[in-house]
Amino acid sequence: MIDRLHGHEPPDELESLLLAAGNYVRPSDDLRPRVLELARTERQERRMQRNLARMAAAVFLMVMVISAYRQPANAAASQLFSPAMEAVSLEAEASARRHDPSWETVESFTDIRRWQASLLRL
Amino acid sequence: MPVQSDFSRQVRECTDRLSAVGVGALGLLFDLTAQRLVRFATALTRHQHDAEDAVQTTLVRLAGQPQSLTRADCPWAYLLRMVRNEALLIARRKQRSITTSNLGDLVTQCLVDEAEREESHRAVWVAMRSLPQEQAEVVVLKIWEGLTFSQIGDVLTISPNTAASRYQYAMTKLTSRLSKHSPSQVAVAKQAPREVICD
Repeated sequence: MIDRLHGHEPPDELESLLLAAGNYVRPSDDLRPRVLELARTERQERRMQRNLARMAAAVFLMVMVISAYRQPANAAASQLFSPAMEAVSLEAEASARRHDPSWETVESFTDIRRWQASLLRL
Repeated sequence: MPVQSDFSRQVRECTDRLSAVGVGALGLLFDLTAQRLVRFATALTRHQHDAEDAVQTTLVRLAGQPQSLTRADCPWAYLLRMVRNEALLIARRKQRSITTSNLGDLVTQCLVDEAEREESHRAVWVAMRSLPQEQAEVVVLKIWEGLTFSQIGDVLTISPNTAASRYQYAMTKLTSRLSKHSPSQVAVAKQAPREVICD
């Protein structure tokens, strides 16, 4: 068995019989073109996927760059319009106060206290 | 344990070329290995169509990732293992019911002056198909690929002793099944020229 483990013994009759039948089976004629064609097709698909991935990366990069350039302009625009925006928001707040019944109560109460204070001063 | 032989070296060269050139060099690897791989896979799947599917899938995958083969210590052993895995997957998926005496799926070749031995070749293949897959693959690797049990153990991820015992069981079965073909056929088989091929 040790010799057999290393395969050094001469083949016996049965092994010769088997050995002779080794080349009896061969690949079918269309296997080679089939394999090569499929390998080429897959290579093209891989290339296409790689190109698509590159394009997607390029578009993503462009979007990032463009948005980075646009951000300071937006900031400048917001600074330019900020006083006006502030005034508008104050006015909106005042009008909200005017129409809010609870604020009206507070204001009338403040007015009464102011009137009482003026009377006491007299 | 690298399987180092002329054939292994040739496979290594083809692999390096495949890695350098790409799909263009796949034809070389195919020409060098396809017959052996189909033979091995046919013994596993017991159907040549399935065997060719396994070989095709393996070679196409290799064309896309030749580095996996380039990095292997022994590309030939690695290739055999890849084909084996693929063949077993296909065999499991398809679960064909195969009558061992039917060799209708085989694409065969026979040398002009070997025609008289075709019967014994067919008997060998029928007998091989009657073996359990674990034993058949050991016989293929030992007899047709000329690997040692240690190398077979590496390809099949089993111990050399297990490989040797499977081989012994297989040979016992084959002896009883091929006994009527042995003495006379072997005498002719030993002086077989292998150049001229006819289908």
